[in-house]
Amino acid sequence: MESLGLDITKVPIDLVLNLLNIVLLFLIVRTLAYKPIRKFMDARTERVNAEARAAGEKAAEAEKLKAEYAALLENGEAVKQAQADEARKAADAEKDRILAEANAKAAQIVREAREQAQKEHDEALGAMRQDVVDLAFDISEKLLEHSITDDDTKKLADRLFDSRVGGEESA
Amino acid sequence: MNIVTGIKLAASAVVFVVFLVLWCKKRHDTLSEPDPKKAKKKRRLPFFGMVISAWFFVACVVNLVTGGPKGISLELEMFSPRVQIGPLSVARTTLTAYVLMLVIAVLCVLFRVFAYPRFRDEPKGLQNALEAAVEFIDKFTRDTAGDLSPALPAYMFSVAVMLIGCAASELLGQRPPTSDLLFTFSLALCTFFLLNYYGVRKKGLFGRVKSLASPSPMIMPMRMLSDVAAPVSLACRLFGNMLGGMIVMDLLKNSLGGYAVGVTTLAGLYFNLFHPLIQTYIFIILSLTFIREATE
Amino acid sequence: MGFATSKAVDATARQPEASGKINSILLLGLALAESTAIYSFVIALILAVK
Repeated sequence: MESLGLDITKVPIDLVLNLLNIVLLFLIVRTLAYKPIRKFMDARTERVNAEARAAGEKAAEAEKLKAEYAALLENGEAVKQAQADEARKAADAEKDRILAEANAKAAQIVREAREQAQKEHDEALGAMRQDVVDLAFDISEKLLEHSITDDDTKKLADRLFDSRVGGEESA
Repeated sequence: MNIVTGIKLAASAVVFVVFLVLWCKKRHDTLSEPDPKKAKKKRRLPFFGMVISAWFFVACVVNLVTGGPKGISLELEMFSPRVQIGPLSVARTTLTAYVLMLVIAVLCVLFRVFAYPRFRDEPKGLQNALEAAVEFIDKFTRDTAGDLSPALPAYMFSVAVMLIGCAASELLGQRPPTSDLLFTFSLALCTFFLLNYYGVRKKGLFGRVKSLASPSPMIMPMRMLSDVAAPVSLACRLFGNMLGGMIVMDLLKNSLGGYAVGVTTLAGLYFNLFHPLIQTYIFIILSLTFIREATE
Repeated sequence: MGFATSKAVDATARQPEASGKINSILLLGLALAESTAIYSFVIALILAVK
């Protein structure tokens, strides 16, 4: 085996040296190049993920707030609507009430006026009657030339007046 | 200065000038051509004439300056010549491997001290390339061998860096460490050790032996043999490919003698760059496949 | 190896988008298939230099 180009007793040295070489190379490359790059890339991925998560959270919060405000707006609309209806109803009721009051007052005034008219009519009738009685009395006094007692005359006058007034009224 | 050399120089220079004039004329003629491809085709002959005469001229000049080759010879040793260091006699390729390791270590230190503190969130340039490489190897290891430990992608990364360095050292004219059977065998031994380690860690010592004995205890010796044959095949594949590439390049250089000026560079594009890269890719894929097989 | 290449070309013709993956698989297969020839080369070397 000498012509193989290598000394057979020296083979393990080469193998051991090569193995040592590879182990040293692995350690050096790993600690100086691979690990720092890996660490940097992982940190960056983590940062990007955290930012994306925060952005997602903010978006969700914004959505929630927007929904809240929209609900509030709708609510406000409804409340406004309800209030408007209520006010309208109250206004209608008020209107009815005022109308009824006015009507009642008008009716009352009319009734009072009618009563007043009736009362004045009666008063006037009474006064007229009294005047007519007095006049008749005076006339009868003058005609009869002596004083008539009040009761007789009153009864006479009343009968006369009633027939006259009845006739007048029926005329 | 020989008369023959002088004639050769003068002749090649004249031929070069002739072809240059022809090329310029053809270019001027075909300026009005609408199709650029056809125009290029017309200029092809003068162009090649120019290239060949230029090559000849440069080769003559180099021969003149360096005194020409000492004769055509091809020496081939399976194992590299040995060098005496102190009481030991080591192979030259081991020395080359150590020099490579030192160069890589210096590069790593430079990277760590200068480039790493300047890392930004948006990668550019060197940072982009390094991050892409680390990401690729990490994902690749995870896909092929599963998530075993964070040191495994680091080991594959360092092996890849070493093998690419060996390809570069071949470009510089040295005999690359990968054309030494002992170097590739030590790499394969590391893979063998790793696959046993991960197998034992995942399944326990008894589990690993048991998995060798499945599906039946009768085939246990065959399974053990195939287990041992795995790193041997890795080593032989890498060694054979690299040695074959080196032999082809040596043949080319030695057969052309003094005129091996530009041709060896072009052939070196394939044999010293592309071929070793494919072989490192194969090595890493196969290592990861063996590790996966041992941990399943 | 020529057979493997022809199969790879067929697969690429069927689905051109997967041509990158097919390319890498092809290279892997070719290197593994070539390794048998390389083993014989190594053995021949060992026998020749002996």
